[in-house]
Amino acid sequence: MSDLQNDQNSKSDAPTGVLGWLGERYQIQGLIDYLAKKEVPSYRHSFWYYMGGLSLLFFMVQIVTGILLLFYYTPGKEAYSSVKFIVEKVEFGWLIRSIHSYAANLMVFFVFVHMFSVIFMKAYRRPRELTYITGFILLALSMGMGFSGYLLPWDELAFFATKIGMNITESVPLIGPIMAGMLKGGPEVGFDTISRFFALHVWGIPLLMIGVLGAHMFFLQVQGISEPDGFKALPVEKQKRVKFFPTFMYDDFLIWLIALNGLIVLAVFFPWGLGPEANVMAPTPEGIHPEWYFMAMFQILKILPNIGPLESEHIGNIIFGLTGAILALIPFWGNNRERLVSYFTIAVLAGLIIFSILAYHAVGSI
Amino acid sequence: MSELQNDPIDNIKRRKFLTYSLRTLAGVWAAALFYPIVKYLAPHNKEVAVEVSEVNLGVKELVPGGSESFAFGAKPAILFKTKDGELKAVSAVCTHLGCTVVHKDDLSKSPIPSGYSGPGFFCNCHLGVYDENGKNVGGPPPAPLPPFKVTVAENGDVTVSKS
Repeated sequence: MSDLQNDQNSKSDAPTGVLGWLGERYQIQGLIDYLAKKEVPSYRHSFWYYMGGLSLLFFMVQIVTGILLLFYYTPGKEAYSSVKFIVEKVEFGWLIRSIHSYAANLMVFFVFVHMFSVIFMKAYRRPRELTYITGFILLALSMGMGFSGYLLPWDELAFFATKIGMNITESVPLIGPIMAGMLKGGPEVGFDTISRFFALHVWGIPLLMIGVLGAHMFFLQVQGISEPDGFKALPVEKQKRVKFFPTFMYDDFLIWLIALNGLIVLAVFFPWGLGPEANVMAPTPEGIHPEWYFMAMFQILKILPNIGPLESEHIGNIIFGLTGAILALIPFWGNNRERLVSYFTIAVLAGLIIFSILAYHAVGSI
Repeated sequence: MSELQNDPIDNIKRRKFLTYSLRTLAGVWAAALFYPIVKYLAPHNKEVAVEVSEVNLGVKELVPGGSESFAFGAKPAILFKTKDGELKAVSAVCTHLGCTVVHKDDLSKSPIPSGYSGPGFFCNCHLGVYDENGKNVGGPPPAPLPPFKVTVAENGDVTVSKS
């Protein structure tokens, strides 16, 4: 009797429809309750909370457009002609490829903005160390996606950018030559390299990214979003929070909609170009340079001197490697080092911006 | 038997032994799995079957100051004629990060002032400067461009070989 009553009671409260059907089989009520309770601080720096979401949006755009490009793209000897075919013959092929190229850049951009905003808002602190570390890994993987994808069209820029990247890899002591050999697939950057980069670009790195992204978002869900000191210092009655579902999510979607429209405007009105096919014997063309997120490194490699037995690229490796490692380990610098972290990050950011401007100036873009 | 099992020290020893054995076994197993993958990924030299030591370029008519690129095996190289009319050749692979250099008549206009003017080689990637003997004279390159030996037969056939 009491069982029957319970059953009737729960039926009257429980959601109906699909949710009800699922709820009878799985314990989803907990999840619904959790989402309904989840709150996000709403104050003058809330804007930065959308940067991670934007990175995610562009990642999803990359998966969709990437799958579409796979319908026509062929790695190896026909790489260049297949991209040319997509851009020139396939209806709206130019658009899909253009969106893929722009979204790649925007994804890296927003991952960078996300990282720097997280550092400046001190969200990396205990207990969120692993959220930060997984985020840093995602930044590295995003740059790996950019680098591996850059070679695939096999145009002049792609070829020399990869050649430089492989030579830098080779100059890492001990493991460098082995790694570079495995990536190149032969003594020189060539068609074998395209196949290997292709495998990494469409399967290897994305699978890793999805795994790490899953962990990153799981940590975020479990611990909730970090509330910065500035917000916590407000008097309690002024600490405004909004419900994640639906308020924050609708805001997120609205921003995604704006970003998607911006992306399409870029892709349509400034379609991504395709350079002449790579010729492994031709001299490097004038004014060659990598994507913007490698520009600072590119400029530093130009001006680093050879010091004694150390060649300039070894010094470059040390500088880039150390900076990356120090940034990655920010959560473990120790207590009360937050000010130092901020100064270091400002210095890195300033360095990136200054060297990028110098690099663009040197190639005559500004 | 039961005495042995009840002796706590013996138990710890046995557990330690088993733990280490298991870990070693797991390590060996992982290495055995890993080894074929590493070997599988090792580069193959299928495109360059033999190491080249000599290239015959046929008859070449270059004006003084003129140049032409050619393939020395899998790598680019440049054949050029100096202002004095001497035919020379160097590897075109920049010793900095492997881009392909160009031959220029006048390097005084290079974006990084190297103090070197006159003919030579320039790398468009990181602005490396070499003189006409291939010596690195400006920018980041750590070493000179390796020169080749050029011989011209009586019928004008140009042969480039490792010097």
